[in-house]
Amino acid sequence: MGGVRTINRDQENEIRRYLYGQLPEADEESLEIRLLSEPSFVEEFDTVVDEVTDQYVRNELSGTERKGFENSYLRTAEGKRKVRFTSELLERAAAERGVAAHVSLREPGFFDRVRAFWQVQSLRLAATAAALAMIAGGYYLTLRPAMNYAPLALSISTANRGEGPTPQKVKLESGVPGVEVNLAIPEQAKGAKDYRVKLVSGDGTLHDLKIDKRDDQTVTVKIPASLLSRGQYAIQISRLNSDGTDTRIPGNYYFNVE
Amino acid sequence: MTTPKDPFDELLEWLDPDREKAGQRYEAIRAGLIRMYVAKGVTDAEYYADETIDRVVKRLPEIKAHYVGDPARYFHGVARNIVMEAGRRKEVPTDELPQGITPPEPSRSDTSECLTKCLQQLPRDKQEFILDYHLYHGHEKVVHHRQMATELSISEGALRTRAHHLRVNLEKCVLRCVDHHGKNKNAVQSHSN
Repeated sequence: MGGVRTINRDQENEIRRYLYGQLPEADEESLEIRLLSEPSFVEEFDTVVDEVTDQYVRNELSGTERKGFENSYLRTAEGKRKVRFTSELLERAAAERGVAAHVSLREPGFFDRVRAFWQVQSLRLAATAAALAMIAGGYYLTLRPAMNYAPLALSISTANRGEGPTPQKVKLESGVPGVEVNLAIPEQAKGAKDYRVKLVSGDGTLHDLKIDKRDDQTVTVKIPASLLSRGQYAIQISRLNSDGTDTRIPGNYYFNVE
Repeated sequence: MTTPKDPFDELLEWLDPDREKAGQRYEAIRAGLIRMYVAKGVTDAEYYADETIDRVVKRLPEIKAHYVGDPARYFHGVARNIVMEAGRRKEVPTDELPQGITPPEPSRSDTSECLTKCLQQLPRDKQEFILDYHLYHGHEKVVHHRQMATELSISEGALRTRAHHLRVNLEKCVLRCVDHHGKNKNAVQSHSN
């Protein structure tokens, strides 16, 4: 447990290929023998499984890698539990980042405390300025003509971003409150009791989106402009089951903000 | 008159004449078998790992007389056969069985609540470490982990291992907690039925 890596990059890639079911039989056999005889290799193997699961949850695996992982590891109850745990952990980490982007990993020294004091002072100043801006903004909002949400209609894609059709683009003019997205429900997911919708930003940040409207064919969500900046986004949808659990519908609704 | 040896003791003896080393070898083989079965998509990997060991134990007198080589290879051969048998039976993953046969999947709110509880059980610095470690992805993640390793004055490999150990324990705690929630719910349900 000394923290010294016992495998190199090639061996790590070999473990990955094993998990995707892409390793030739002879290599597979020697990897499995190592699994049965080297406890330190088991630990490295588990670390790679964690990383691949992270990438799976963040939708960073290629189509064939994803499929391979789903057809083997993720067929098991253990694999599914791991995905559920990982997705909660990553979401929690992203949510916490909104509060404190960089957590200091050591005890604060004198300069850190001085810096922290000034950060608090500047936050107070910033809060006062923000309050003034909100009052001014309130006046502006009551006087300016109301602007509508930018409309967007999307279909689900099971391909990776780079492989499927070009994502739709939306331009956010100044003053537009956000984007109203109509998500076409795929055939196999229709008729659910309810749905759960998430926005995934390019940096992996996840936000739950409130469903505005829904019918048999579509689910409509409004994404406030505050959650959007220029970049790539994906929306993920899950169906809520009658027992309170939810099941992710495979694929993503991709779009770009310009 | 000599009493017959316990089959498990015989297995340990075959693995290594030193009892302690034999125990370690046994644990390593079992842990490896579980990984292998999960990676092959075989549901209930622990059951099949034990089944593999049982089959080896049953054939032990014969193996001890004729087999030459690393015992891990023999276990591997038996495990491969079991994977093939499971494939022939077209094993149905547990969660595709009709409801009532398997316990219901935990809800997201249970997992989330349990994660909160388990994080709170960790010392503050470890809570921050595990969340901080999982903040970014892609290139940003590499840079961020490098920064973290520098701040902690440890190598990136050690950082990775530290994160892995914390994550394993956190995951175990969440699983235990979710399981406990499930049992409580079932108890409440059966009480109200």
